[in-house]
Amino acid sequence: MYESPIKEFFRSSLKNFNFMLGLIMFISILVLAVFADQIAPYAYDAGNPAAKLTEPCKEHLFGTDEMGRDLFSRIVYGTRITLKVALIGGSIQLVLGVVVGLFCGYFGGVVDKAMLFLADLTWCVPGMVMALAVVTVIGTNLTNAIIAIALVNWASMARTVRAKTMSLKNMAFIETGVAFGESDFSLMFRYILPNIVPALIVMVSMALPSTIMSTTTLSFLGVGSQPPSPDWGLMVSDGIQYITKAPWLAIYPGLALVYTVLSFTILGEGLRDLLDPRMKSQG
Amino acid sequence: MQYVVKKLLLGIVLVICVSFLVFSMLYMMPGSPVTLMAGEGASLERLEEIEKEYGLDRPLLVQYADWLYGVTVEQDFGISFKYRLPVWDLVEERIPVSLRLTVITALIQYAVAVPLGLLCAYKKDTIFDRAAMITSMIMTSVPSFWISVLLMIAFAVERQWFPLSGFSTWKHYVLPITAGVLSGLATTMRLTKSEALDVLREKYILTAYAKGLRENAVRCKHVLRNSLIIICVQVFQSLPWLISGYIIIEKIFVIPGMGGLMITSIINQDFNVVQCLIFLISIMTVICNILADLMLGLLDPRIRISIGGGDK
Amino acid sequence: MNDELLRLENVSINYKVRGGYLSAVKDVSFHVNRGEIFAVVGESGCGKSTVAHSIMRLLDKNAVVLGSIKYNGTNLMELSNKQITGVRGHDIGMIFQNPLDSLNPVYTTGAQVNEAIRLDGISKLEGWKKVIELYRNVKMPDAEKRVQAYPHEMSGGMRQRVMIAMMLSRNPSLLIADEPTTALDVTIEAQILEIISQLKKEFGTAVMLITHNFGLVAEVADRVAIMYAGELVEQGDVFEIFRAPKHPYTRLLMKALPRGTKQEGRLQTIDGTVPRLMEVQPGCRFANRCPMAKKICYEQDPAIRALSATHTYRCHFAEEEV
Repeated sequence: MYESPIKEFFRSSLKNFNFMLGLIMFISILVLAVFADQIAPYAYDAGNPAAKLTEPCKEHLFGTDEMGRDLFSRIVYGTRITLKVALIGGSIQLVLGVVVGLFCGYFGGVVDKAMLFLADLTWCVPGMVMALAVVTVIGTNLTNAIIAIALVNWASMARTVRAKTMSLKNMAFIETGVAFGESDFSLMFRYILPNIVPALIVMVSMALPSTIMSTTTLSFLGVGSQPPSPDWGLMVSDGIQYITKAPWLAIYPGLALVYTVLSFTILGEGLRDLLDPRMKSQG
Repeated sequence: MQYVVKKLLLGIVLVICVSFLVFSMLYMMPGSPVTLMAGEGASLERLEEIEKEYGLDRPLLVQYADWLYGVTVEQDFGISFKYRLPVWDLVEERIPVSLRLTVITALIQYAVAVPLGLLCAYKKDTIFDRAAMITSMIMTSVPSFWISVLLMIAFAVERQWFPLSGFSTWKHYVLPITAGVLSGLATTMRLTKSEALDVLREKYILTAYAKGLRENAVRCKHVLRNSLIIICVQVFQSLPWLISGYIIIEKIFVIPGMGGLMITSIINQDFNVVQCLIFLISIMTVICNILADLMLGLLDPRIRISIGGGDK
Repeated sequence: MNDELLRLENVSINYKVRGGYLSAVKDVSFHVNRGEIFAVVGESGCGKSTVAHSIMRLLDKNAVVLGSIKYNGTNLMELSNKQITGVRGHDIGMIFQNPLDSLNPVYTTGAQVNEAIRLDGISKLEGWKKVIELYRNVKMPDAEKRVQAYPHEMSGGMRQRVMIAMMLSRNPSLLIADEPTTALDVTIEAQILEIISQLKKEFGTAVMLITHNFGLVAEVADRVAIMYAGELVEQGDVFEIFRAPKHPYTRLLMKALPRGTKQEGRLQTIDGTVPRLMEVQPGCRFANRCPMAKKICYEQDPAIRALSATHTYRCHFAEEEV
């Protein structure tokens, strides 16, 4: 009756409501992003001066904006931006968190103290403020906004990795590795890292919703994506100017954003239940 | 007392480090404040002149030391490149606006979220709890700027109950504060619930029941009292974050607070103002953290001893 | 004359868990007389604490209790929440295994005892006097000062004294002590046990002592019940049980007792582990560890047999020697 862990994972994942729901929502976004060219009826930057601020109708499902661009098409193309944010932002946080966390947890000492101080330092200024400052310095565009948010958010991941590393370090199998003369590097990445992979997957999926929200907020504030990008944050911000005449401009992109964030949140909770039952909260 | 002094000293060190970090980050920017002041297409000589005038050609450490001296001794935060006014004059009247909003928001938020969270813990796994948890999950997925937009559309555009923007009558307060409360509500509620559940699992709750206390007495005197320790700490720690949350809300509702100024200054690359605002916020963060620690000591006798420096 | 204070009749307790029920306690019946010390012995996880908590109705919400638990003739299971609150502390007191976390860390110990006292409508000031008196009763050193102490300022033994004082404050007729000394040093254990047996003498309080320590039972108990994997396997007078244990599990427990000075080699241990409660199958629950097990033990539940008016056991073959 032996089942491989991977098989077991798939079996139990079928029963996990959160995971399946999150997965379906995520796949729907993925499909929109991949087949945007086929799905969207218009190009995201194709304006039609004859149809400015059209209310939602048959030709324009979600209406048009002040330049006559089809809102539905822009939202469909916007999924690409959001997935880019999730992918790049998540990766930067993951790499920084893992490397710094492993080094600090494994070596301890001065490196560790320095990092804790740095963590305290970033703690001193609210993340959004810090991200704004970083973006100002490195320049306002989407990539920089993603970097800024990741730079502000990676510390919590590093802290978790550090704690896990410290507890693993003293376990018997690591000591066996030491006895066999494994190098520090190999111990860190071949012995400890594989053991925290499930926790890492959970951490990243839990970090994605806030990463997406913060990055979109930067775009909303005008220091992220620049026009004519179909970034949802930027679209809501544009929509505010026409809030009395065309409220749909601010509503639909926000709705798309909430749907996306929600899909990552639900997926994250499902993954947590599946991979890291001990972390299961009572909430 | 010793503990507080130690925390305070550490806080000062942190604030100085942060301000230096921000200062050097802004220093690394290639001469933009100068171009901003001189206007487009100014001659190279003119640029150098301005650099000299404001001492921007000196090395980083000298400039920073000069800035820090000005701030600590003369309360001089320099001059806003954009408005050509002393930074402090710009910032001064905006601080109370932001603080007032933040404190009112925090009060309402906790007054609503804590009872809801407790109720969820007591009624765990009932329909009420599930509904509240699903709602809160959805709410944590809604960015504050969109909540603000929705509130505007619903209550300022569709029904003109409240004004769209500005900041003169009490009616102007309603929508921004609602947006602020809503954006933090779910997190606070979840925190309260998980904290209360932790306390409910403690043995002393069983003791309280075993000695014959009534349900409500146990809930108020033991569960609530002990959950409040963490919740109070959370209140203080979250205040600076609320301020940063208000950056967005202030911008949307055009409120003359610190957040609105911050955004404009960042976009205009008005660095002295940005530097000053970050400095103020980091001081506030440190103060709030010390207050949180003191609060913890006040509420938890186990910590009181170590803060008082009584033993060891 | 009715000596019986508490009677459990066919009590079974199941926990509702994902994918079914977990049988924690099965068909347990016993009674506690006024003023006696009744011990319930068993390994950890055998359901003895669950039984104790069920009497006070302090089990988690997912527990389902069947059977009847009668206190002075009233079925506690049928009381409303308000009524059972009136029983707790007033009629039945309970102290717990670990005195470290059974007191609320944010109140002084005296205040927590006083909280119980004031439930009987005594004024705050009167209450404090009574707290000091109670602290003296449980031999708390420096009673006047200690009422102002917080739990973390006290040792484990002192905290357990506070618990006893708290639970006695409303003069209950029955005190349930759930492993009261497990977390304490041996010397402190002796002191706590002395306080408990003294209670019995001075106030006539009946004590239901739950423990995994068979040695303790011999010292203080009048009657004893032995539980294994949720079932009560044997009960009787302490003398009867110690002189002639019938159930193979009891016999093994007795053998596992260290015998004072005459230590012959190493302690005897019982092989195997307690079955997980989900896996419990028909037949005797002890069969897989029993040295005497035969085929029938795996197929049929043994019935309860009475050896005397007081001594009963649950085994197919107990007449034979081990």
